[in-house]
Amino acid sequence: MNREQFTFLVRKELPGLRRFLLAACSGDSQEADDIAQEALLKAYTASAGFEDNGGFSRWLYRIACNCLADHQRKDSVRADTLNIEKAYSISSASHSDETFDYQDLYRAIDGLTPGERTAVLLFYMEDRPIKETAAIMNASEGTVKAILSRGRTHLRERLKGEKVKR
Amino acid sequence: MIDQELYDIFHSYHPEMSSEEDFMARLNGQMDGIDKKRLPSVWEKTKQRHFLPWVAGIAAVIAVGLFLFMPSKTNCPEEADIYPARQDYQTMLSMTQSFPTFEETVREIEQSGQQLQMAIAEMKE
Repeated sequence: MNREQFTFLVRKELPGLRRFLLAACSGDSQEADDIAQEALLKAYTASAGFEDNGGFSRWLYRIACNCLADHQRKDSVRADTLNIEKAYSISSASHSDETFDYQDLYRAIDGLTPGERTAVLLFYMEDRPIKETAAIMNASEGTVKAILSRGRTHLRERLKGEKVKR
Repeated sequence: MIDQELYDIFHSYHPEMSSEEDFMARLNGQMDGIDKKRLPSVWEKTKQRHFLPWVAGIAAVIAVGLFLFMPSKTNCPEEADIYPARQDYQTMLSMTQSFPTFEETVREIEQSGQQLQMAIAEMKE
C-alpha cells in the first residue's frame, strides 16, 4: 500500500476514529488527537506490507486501541493521584460549553475499565458487530460479550447516578 | 435502561473537534519525516538483498571465462615429450654454467683439429 492509498483510506476512517478516541479519552481532545496521530503513524510505518482486503478499518482501530491502552497504562499513575472528582472540576473549568454537555457521558465512561470502555464504544458508538469488536480487541467473542455485559451494567449505574446528582 | 437507550446516547454524541485539515496537515508532516528516514533504510535493504546475487553472478562469469580461455590439458601420450630427451646431459650441466664465447669455441675446435692431426700422424708411423 502506497502513501496515496493510505491517505485515502485514512480520510474515510478519520472522523469515526477521532470521535471514538475522544470519547475514550473522556473528552480530552488534545490527548485523543495525540493518540490518533501516534496510531496513524504506526499504521503508516507498517502499511508498506499491508494489503487491503477490506480489513483496513479493523486493522487501524486495532492499532489505535493498542495505542490507547498504552496511554491508559501510563496515565494510571496520574489517575491514582488525581481522583475523578478533581479531574472533573479541572476539565469542567477548562473545556468549552459544548464539551460540558457531554460531561455526564464522559464521567460515566471514565468509570469503566479500559476494556469495558473500548468494547462499549466500539459496539454502541461505532456500530461494530461482536465479531469485529473481538477482532479489534484481540479477544474471543465470548470474552467480548462478557466485557460488554459488565460494561453495560456499569455504564447504566453511572448514568443513573449522574441523573440523580442533577 | 435498554440497549436502545445506550445506542441513542452514543449516536447523539457529536462532539466538536478541531479541523480535520489541520489534523491531516500535521499527519502529513510526520509522514514526510518517516519517508525521509525510510528511504536510506530501503536502499540499504535493497543493497543487502541484491549483494549476494551480484557477487554470485560475477563469480560465475569469472569461472566461465576461466573455463573457456584457459589452455586445456590433454591426455595425449606425446605429453611426455615436453621433457628433454637427454636428461643426463641436462643434469650434467650446471645451472650456473655460462655458454662459451665465440673465441673459446674456435680455439676448442682448433685444438680438436690439432689433436686429430697428431693422432693421424701417430697412426701413420
